[in-house]
Amino acid sequence: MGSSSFFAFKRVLWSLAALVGLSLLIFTLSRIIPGDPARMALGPRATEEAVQELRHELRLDRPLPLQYVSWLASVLKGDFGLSLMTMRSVTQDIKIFLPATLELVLIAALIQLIFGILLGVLSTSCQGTWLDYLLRITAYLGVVTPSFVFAILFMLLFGFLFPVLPVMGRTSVLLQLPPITGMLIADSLLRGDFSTMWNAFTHLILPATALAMNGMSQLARITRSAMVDNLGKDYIVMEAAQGISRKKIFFHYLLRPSIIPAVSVMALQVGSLFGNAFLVESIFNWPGLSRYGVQAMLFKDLNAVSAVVCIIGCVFIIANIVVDILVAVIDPRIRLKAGE
Amino acid sequence: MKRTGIFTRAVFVFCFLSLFASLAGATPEDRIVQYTGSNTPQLDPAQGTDRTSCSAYANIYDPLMFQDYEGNLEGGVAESWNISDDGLTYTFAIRKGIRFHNGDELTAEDVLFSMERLLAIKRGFSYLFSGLIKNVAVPSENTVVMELSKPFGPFLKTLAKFYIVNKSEVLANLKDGNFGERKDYGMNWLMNNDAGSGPYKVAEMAHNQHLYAVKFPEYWRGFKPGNPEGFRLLALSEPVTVRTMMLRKQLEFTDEYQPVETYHSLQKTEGIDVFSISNGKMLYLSLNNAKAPTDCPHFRKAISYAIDYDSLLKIFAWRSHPKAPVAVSLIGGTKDLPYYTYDLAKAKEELAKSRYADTLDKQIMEIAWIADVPDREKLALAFQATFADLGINVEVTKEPWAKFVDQASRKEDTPNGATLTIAAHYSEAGTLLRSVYHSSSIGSYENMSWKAYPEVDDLIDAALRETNEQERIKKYIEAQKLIVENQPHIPIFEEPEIHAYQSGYLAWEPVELVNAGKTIVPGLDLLYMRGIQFK
Repeated sequence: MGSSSFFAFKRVLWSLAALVGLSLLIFTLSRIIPGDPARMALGPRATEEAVQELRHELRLDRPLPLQYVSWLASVLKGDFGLSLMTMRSVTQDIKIFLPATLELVLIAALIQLIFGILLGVLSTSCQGTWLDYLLRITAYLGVVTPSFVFAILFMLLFGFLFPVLPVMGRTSVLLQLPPITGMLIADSLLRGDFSTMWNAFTHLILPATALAMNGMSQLARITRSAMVDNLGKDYIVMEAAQGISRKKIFFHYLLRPSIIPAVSVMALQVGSLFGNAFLVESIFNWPGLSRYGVQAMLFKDLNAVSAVVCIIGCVFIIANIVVDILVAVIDPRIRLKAGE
Repeated sequence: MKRTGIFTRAVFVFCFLSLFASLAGATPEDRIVQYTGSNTPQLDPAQGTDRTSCSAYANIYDPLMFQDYEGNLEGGVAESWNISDDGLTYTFAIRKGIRFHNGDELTAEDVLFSMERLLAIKRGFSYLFSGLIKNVAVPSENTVVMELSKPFGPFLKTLAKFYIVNKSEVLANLKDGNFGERKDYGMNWLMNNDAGSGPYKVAEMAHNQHLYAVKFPEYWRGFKPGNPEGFRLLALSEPVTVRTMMLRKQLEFTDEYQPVETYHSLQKTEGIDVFSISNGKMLYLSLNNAKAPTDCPHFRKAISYAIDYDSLLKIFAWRSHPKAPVAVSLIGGTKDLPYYTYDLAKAKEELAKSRYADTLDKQIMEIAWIADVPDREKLALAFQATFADLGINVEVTKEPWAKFVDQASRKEDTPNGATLTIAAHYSEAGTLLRSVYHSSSIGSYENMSWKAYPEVDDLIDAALRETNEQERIKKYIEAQKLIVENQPHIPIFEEPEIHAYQSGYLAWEPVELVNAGKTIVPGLDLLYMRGIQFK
């Protein structure tokens, strides 16, 4: 087995171990927190018999280790159990809500990456000018302002003062066909339904941008900082002396090594996007996983909580692996080091 | 940059933005009522009891008995009924000509199936009938007979929460489940579909997003001019979003959980009014009658006199002063009892009689407020300040709901007091008397007194057994008199149901009734679409 393959195999193995540990932790925590989920789900007036039946259905009448083993066995078969909040299978809920959040987070991540880096490049190219200072101050404000503040701002600006964008839900079109991926833009693109695609895209603009603002500002600052550092390096000075155009230096020679820190930070940003998505989803009535997860925690919906945490953990792990690969692609030195 | 370049770009931006203009959302011209709720409803009438589910059921399904806004019991699916002399047998004649949304005719078999289903699943409103209904039979095609295990006076009113589903449609959509040959009883299918006969039928169920329903033209009662063409229940309660949408006329009704500031702000807008009506909910300072110092009746009476109800009403708008142990809007709730008002002199007098009079400085009264309802903190702190005037030490604690429900199930962990809202599930005082004051409910968060009052139990039981409504009301009043003497819990307000709504283009039946001097009795959902008309 080549060293790269072995490296990848080790990463996957450690990731699985991390997932199992995470599942054990969240499973145990959710069950030792006070509150009888069966009683909470059925209400105070439900008969004791009904409550005991539900407890039995949820396997809450078994010892904790046995509960975990049977839960894990079900999860490996794709069954996360019953959601007390929705009274549906958690797997069914995940199929509905996960694509919505993935779509939101993916677009937000793209906005962060593209505009964050572009703003960093712009700031570097205007270094020392009023534009640079303005962008830097804006970036500071963007970093310290929570996503939900942007969400509320956009709601007031584009929902009330200048109502040019929809502020609610994923689409205003009645969806007749079953989902393919669950992501409306992708599904409508695959079906060639461009009007639904446009409708879904316009619904996504405000929540995705609100969610992206924090990370975009962060990436702009990181990119600018890295570019300014690299700007003073000998090879850049040599290229400038050789008469290579400023544009080519920036985008061809300077950007590539400078975006590595930004791309690495993106992996951490994914987790934060999922976390911040809850408030954005609530404000824009976006039926996503984050909102579902927080509601599940408040409702003490054990199965839903465990499922959501495990899935977000999976996404986080995958994002880290993808970013590692991306960084290796961008920077050949890392590939060579890994090979050694 | 050349001027023509700027101009071209400006035109481009304008055209680009105008593409979005049509996406602003539904408008009043659509005649679709949009309203918000904290979550999307359970479409299955055997599963949900929350507010949004109840508002969906009222519009999508028909109940066996229909109660109007003034509390008059009319036939729903039941055209007429007969009660045996012993109050144990109810015979219903099922109305002919009612069609389900798929075209099937509603028969007595559907009624029988719906009750069997509700009792088997043991969720939703099954608790109203479980242990009470002994047998349901269909002696002929359009007759249903229900036998009770004991007389229960409010039975007909509870049937306003019994919704009829289409038996053949449900049985045609069974999936694997725990109910033998009835498999899952159609629970999976009913998550996304309806099997009802009500005035509106489900067009789209987008979980955690919205429920969209459209008019059912063949509805047996028909429609009034201007009734909505459909409704959309949005799972949305963020105040900023709700307010924005109301101001843009993209929402016809807000939900009832908005902060007071949102209602005040919307009320100032032309064309928007705020309507509040008691729906039988009471906010209590529930007390642990088995833990010092709230185990002393004189202590409890003292703090009842020490609460400045009028000042609290200034902070918590649209509420009303309690006049009885239960909401007076409920049938049998009485305004005529001598009741507790703010009177520090009487409070001190009662406290002096208390067994803790001399050791008050050593006693701590713990009052818990539920973290999920931030406004309750103001209430708990107000009690702390007020009771301090009597020398009572109050410790205010914040508890997440799940933890509180767990604590309330154990005597030793139940705090001295907690601010709780208890809802009525049918339109009579018996519902709150049973759940808040009867010893059978001790151990649930609705009755955390941990002390039985046998005489109160006997009066409540006697009232609930009484099939004559007037006699039953008299017994409710007797029970309430006795409760006032013991004061196991302190009612703080009658909690209203509050909605901001678009009065500029909507006529709303409950508002018109109140304006005409009529009294609304809690029962029929305020957001029953046939009571709403576009002007």
